[in-house]
Amino acid sequence: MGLYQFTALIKHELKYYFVTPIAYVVIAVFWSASGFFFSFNQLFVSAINMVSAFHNMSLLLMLMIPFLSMRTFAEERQNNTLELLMTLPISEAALVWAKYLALMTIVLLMLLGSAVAVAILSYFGDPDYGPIVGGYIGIFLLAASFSGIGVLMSSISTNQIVAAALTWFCLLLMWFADYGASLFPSSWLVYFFQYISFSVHYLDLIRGVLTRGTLIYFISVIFLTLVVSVQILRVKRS
Amino acid sequence: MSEPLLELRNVWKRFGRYEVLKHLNLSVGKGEIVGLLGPNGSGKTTTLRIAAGYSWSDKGQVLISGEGVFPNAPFSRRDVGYLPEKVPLYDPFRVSEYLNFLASVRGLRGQIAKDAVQRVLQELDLSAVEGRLIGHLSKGFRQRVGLAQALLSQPKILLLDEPTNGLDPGQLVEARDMIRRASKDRAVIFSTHIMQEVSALCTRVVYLLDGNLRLIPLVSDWSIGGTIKARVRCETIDILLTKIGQLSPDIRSERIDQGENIFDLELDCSSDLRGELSALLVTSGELLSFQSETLSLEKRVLKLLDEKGK
Repeated sequence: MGLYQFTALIKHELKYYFVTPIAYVVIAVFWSASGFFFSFNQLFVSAINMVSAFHNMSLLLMLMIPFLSMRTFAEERQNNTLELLMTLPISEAALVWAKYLALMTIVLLMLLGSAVAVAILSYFGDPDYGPIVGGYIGIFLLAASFSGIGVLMSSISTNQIVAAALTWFCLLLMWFADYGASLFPSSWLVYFFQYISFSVHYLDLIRGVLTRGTLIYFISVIFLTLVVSVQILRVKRS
Repeated sequence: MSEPLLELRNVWKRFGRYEVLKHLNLSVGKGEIVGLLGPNGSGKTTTLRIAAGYSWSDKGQVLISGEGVFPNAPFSRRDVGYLPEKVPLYDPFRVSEYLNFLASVRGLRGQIAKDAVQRVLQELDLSAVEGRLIGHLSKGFRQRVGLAQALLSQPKILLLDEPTNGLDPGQLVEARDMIRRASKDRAVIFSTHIMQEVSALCTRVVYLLDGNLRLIPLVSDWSIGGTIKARVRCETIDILLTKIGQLSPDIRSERIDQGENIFDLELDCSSDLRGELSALLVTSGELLSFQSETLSLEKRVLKLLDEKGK
C-alpha cells in the first residue's frame, strides 16, 4: 500500500471528526476547561509556571480522549464499514496507524489551543520555557498513550459507549496502578506496579523532566497498544 | 465456461464446532452471474466474505485469475468489488466525498480517480445526488451508492451479498438492471433468498446446503411444471390412468364415491402437457373440476434438492 492511500485514510478520518460534532465539542470543552483552570491558577495562586495547568490538562485528557477514540473501530463495526475497509487493498496496520495519527492530530490541535496560556504567561511575566516545552512534550506523550489505549479498546468493542467505558476503566487502572504496590511489600511486583503506573511517570512529565525510562515507557505503551489492535483486527477477521 | 476469474477450491470454514463450509468448490468465469442460494445460516455470507478476502478459510484456496487471495495480503484484493449485506456507508459524508475517498484508498489518483467516480455516478444514475448527504438518501439510492463503490476500480470480480434486500418493486427492477449492466466482462456472484431475482438475473444457480454447493439446473427451466388436481366421473378409470400415465407417470388417484365412480386425480406435469391432459380428461369421462397449480420457484428448488438428495 502506498503513502497516497495511507494519506487518504488519515484525511478521511480527520474529516469524519469534523463532519460530526464530536471533535468540535471535545476541543471546545478542553480549551474552555484548561483555560479556566489556568486562569484560576494565575489569579488565585499567582504561579508563573505551567505545572498546575499540565496537571489539569492530563486529567482533562483522560476524560476527553475516550470520547474521541471510541469511534475509531467500534463505530466502523457498528455501521458495517469495517467490513468494507478490510476488503480494500489496505493492511490492518495501515488502518490502525491512520486512525491513530488522525486522532493524534486532533489531540495536537487541543494542546496547541491550550498554548495560549504560554503566551499570556510570557506577556505578564518571564517564565522558564524549558520546563514548559518539556511539559508539553510530556503531556503529548501521555495523550498519545491514552489514545493508544482508546484505539485498542475500540478495536475490541462493537459499541462506542462500551469502548469509551473500557478506555476510562483502563486509564484509571493504569493511573492508580502504583497503589497496587502497597499490596505486595518488598516484592518485584512493587517495581512492576510502579513502572506501569501513569501517575508515577506523569509527575516528572508535568515538571518538564523527560528521562529515558519515561520515554521508553510511553513509546512502549503506544506501540504495544497499536500492535495488539492490529492483531485483534486480524483475529476478528475470522 | 471461459477461464475462471474466481475459484474457490476445497474451502472449509468452521465456527467453533459448527462446520459452515465443507469442501466447497466454485468457479466463476467472465460474463457469468452466479446466484448463491441457501437457507439462513447456510454460509452464503461466509462464502462471499472468504472470496472477498475478508475472512480466513480454515482450509482450501481462493484464486483470482489463478492467483491466491489472502486476508493478510491486501494487494490480492485489488480485483474484487464487494457489497456486503448491510451497505457500508458513511452517513455524514456526501456521495461524491465517499466515492472519492474509496477511489483514493483503492489507489486511483488524480484524473483517473475523478473519471472513475464520474463513470460510476453516471452508470448508476447517481449524478443527481452526488452532492447530497448519504444519510439523507432513500434505501434504493443507498444501495446504488454501495454498488457504485464496488464498481469504482473496475474489478474483475463482483461479490454482492443480498443486494436487493428490502427494495420496493421499482427499485428491484432498477437494481436488476444495474447488476446486469455491471456483469459485463466480469464474474459476478450474488447471494439472495429471492428466487425471482435468481430467475431474472443468473446464468447459473448454486444452492448452499450442509456446507456444500449443489448445482441447480438453469433458471430457464424453472417456471416449467406444476400440479394438476382434477375430479372426474369415469367408468373406465384404469384405461384413463394408463393413458395419463403415458404422459405423466407421477399420478395419484383416489375414488371418493363408490357408487358414482368419482375419482380425485393429482399429478405433476410440465406446463406444455396441461392442455393435452385436460383434453384427455374431458374425452374420457365427465370432468367435474380442474385445478392447475404452477409450482413456485421456491417449491421447485426444494423439490430438486429433495430429488438430488434421494
